[in-house]
Amino acid sequence: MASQAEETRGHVNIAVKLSPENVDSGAQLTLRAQTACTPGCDLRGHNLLVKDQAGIEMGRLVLTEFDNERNESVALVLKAPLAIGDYVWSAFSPAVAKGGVLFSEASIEILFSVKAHTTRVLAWGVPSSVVAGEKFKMKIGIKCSSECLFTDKSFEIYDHDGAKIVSGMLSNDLWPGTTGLYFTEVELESPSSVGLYYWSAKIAGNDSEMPHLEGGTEFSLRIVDPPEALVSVEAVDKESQQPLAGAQIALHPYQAFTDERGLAEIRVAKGVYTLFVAQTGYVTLGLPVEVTANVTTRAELDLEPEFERN
Amino acid sequence: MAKKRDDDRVDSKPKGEKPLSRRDFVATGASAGIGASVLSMSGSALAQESPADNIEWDYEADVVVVGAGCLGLPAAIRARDLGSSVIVVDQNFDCGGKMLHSGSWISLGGGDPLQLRDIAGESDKEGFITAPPQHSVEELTENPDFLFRDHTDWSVMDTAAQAPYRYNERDLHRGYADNCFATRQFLLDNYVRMGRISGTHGTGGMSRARRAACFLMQGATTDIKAGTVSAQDAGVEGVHSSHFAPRVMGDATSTVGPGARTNGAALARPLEFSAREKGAQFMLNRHMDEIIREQQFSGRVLGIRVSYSPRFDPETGAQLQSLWQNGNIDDRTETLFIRARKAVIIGAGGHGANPEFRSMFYPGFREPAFVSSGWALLGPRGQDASGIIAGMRIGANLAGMSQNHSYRSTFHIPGTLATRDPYTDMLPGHPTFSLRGSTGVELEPESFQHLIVVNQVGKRFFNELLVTERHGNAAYPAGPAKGQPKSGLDHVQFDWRNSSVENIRATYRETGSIHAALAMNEGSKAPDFFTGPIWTIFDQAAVERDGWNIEPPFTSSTNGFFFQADTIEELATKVHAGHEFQRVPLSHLTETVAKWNSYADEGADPDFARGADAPMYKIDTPPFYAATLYPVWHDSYGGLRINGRAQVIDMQGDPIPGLYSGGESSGGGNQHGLGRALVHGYIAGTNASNEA
Repeated sequence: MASQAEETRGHVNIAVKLSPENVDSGAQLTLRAQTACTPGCDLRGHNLLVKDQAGIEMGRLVLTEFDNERNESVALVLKAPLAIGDYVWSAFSPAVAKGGVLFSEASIEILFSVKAHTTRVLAWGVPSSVVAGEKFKMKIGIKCSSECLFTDKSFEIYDHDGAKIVSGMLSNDLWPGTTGLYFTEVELESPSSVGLYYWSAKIAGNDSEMPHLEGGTEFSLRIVDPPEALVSVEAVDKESQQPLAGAQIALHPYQAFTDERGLAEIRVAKGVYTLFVAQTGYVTLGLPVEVTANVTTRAELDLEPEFERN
Repeated sequence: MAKKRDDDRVDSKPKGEKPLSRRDFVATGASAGIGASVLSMSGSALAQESPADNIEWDYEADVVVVGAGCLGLPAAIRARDLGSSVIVVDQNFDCGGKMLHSGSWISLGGGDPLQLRDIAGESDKEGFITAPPQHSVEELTENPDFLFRDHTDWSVMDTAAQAPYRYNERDLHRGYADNCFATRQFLLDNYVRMGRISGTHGTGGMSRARRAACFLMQGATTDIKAGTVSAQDAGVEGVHSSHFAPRVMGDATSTVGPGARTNGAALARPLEFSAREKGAQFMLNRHMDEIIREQQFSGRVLGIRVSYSPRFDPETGAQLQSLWQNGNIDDRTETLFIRARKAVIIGAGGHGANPEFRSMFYPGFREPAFVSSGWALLGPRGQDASGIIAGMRIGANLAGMSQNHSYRSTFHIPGTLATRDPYTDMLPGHPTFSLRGSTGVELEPESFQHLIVVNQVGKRFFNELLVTERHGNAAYPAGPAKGQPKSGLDHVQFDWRNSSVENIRATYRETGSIHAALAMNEGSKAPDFFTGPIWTIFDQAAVERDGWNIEPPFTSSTNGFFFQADTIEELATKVHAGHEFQRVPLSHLTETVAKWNSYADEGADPDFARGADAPMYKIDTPPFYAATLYPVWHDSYGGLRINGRAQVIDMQGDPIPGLYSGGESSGGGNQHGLGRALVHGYIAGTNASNEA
């Protein structure tokens, strides 16, 4: 027989945000929950249980915040499963009584996918121009999407015809300023003909406990004829006539910087170029230059107009 | 992701762990502009909220001034000079408004005391100025009639073929011209020191030199009476600013002499000092929500309704305090009614921070991400158009509604990366620095050859070297670079040749970058189209090549406006996850960088014509960076119509009894900067005080 004063019942709506929705095998998975009740209530202190597909509890989402409408939980950080695939977990709210209202249990599915780690390959530091047939140095770096340490990681470089040029090994050194980019420097021999070539660097995937996809990148190689002429540039401040050190000199595809005397020398193939001279705070100078023999030129740079912020 | 909130009223979440963005949990079609959109509309849009008959006034004064800024402070001082009691309210926690953040350049003229001083080759009365005059006698000689003609010259065009003087209200500018002399003297009489006249400020007139910056001399202490500022208060370039001066005060050697420091603090703080000294009372943390009139559209203005608007340090939770407290009324009651026995003066600033209001001028600017300059200093209720809207609700007419398009810095893209307010460069030291978190990385236009600029889906949209270009402003000495066929004293007023087709063809220089930036971005859908943030993308090689300082305080790793990553793909992910207004993924970024690098290989850019004016460098050296390049809305033209006596005019063309306005709350004047509001303040304070 029901009591005269029937218990008021309510229900809880749950929303769960997980990040990332597509998570690397074994990587960090972060969950947060939001709840709203009907009738409204403050469920601070209430725990939502996160359960895997087998119903095993993986962790708890503790509701700690309330904005007069919704509760929010602290973040729950878990390790994602290792096996690749789609997963259906759940967030379960046990029945709870608050303010004279009995809120029945509720649950919501949490859908996510576990994927193999992405392997990014980077190639940089290739000189802007390489003389045909000569050696050049460049950097190869590899980054796992979960910043796995790549010990004894090997890579291969292929030329424009797909032929393997070299195999290399990464060091355990991180490139400065990065958090997970392991790199090495390689020395390669350039093609013997002039042109713009696209080579590639690749790394094989693996099916280890935390699988990694294969990765690769293309990089360009501008091959030029042996230089026939010397272009000497002196960069100065037009008003003061003082030398500009560290100014950038460019005759595409050749690049250089001026030294402390404001001087730079670039050996180039004969041809028609636009000579650019640029320096921080100055208006970039662009001059058409036809190089048939050694060229010496003096570039006087104007300061950029004063910035009127108003 | 760090989201700074300093206003409990806007977001009532309890302090503690940062709340999740609503967009994570709730699918919504609404753009849900955060923070700056304030319309104060409740119930029926036109109903009078507070009928006059029912009001019990909490405070009263002869003259009630809304806004302790460039209009409000001179108005308050002038009213005190004439014997009126004055209460000044301001939504912010401190006085100064946007003036405090300014460069302090004041263009007046018409033969004002500074022009006369420089004509005579004299120093100032305290002998601080040792620099010689910068202009010839002829460049400084004029009278109010001449100034008035300059300000109403139909023929002058700028390099975007806009006409900045053509639409100026005549009576308003007659009053302005007739009061420039008195206003300049008024400033001098109230502790404001100004250096040599040097050119003329934007849209301050074409024919004479009229502009001077304010200064204080660096000394052992800050002493407004003595005219000195301490090194601590003046700030140190690249290191710190201060509560006294939110931007480091610049070097005024060239217009004053060695040891002179200059910016808006040298104007705002002396005016505030004088107002407090003369007994004006201040109710700070008070937002004006309503102007009370006898009847909604008739009768006198009786007073105002204000609400409590405190601001808090988001890191410590402490309430922000004004620099000085003498004269403050610290009443924390939620709502108050303040009666004005004589008049109310509206100096609440403009509309640049109200996306809904400013979108009537430019729909692309409904984007809530983009703020007005001084956003951290003034807070979420600064420049919210509340003064204009309150006037509209009691029948005020508007004026100057075309004039936002005829000034170069109304809206534009400053070349300052990694900050939400790229117009102003605050350093740590001011109480509001933590709200912006970063000063910003200021780059000259030529430095943009070292990066690419992309929209919110990661596509380039303009030649980077032209992205920050602004069209020239039409002010003395002007000349072809600023749209005029003749320069300096050769300029001819009211001459048809100034706006001939030939001249416009010869001088037109509007590149359109801001318009490309404001274009509706991919991912934006009906009904809530939005523009979205804009990003600079660059690599470590660019930083080293051009010598950029991208360390804190110029950037912040937590405020969501600067990101660093090992790969381009990770950079895109970080931006999407970490920037409050990045509603869609930067899905094209990897492809855009690859394409750019291929163009750099060729030395030519078929998409946006780079390569012709500067070298093109690949973006391939890790780490990689993304820093915002936000458009900003700085000036605010278009507002309450006022006449030459600073009276607000209604839809029938009649003054609304007891209501005055000026500065950016008003419209019909296109002069950029402080001079406009200072003169309006002087006029309004005078006439309000003289009301029976």
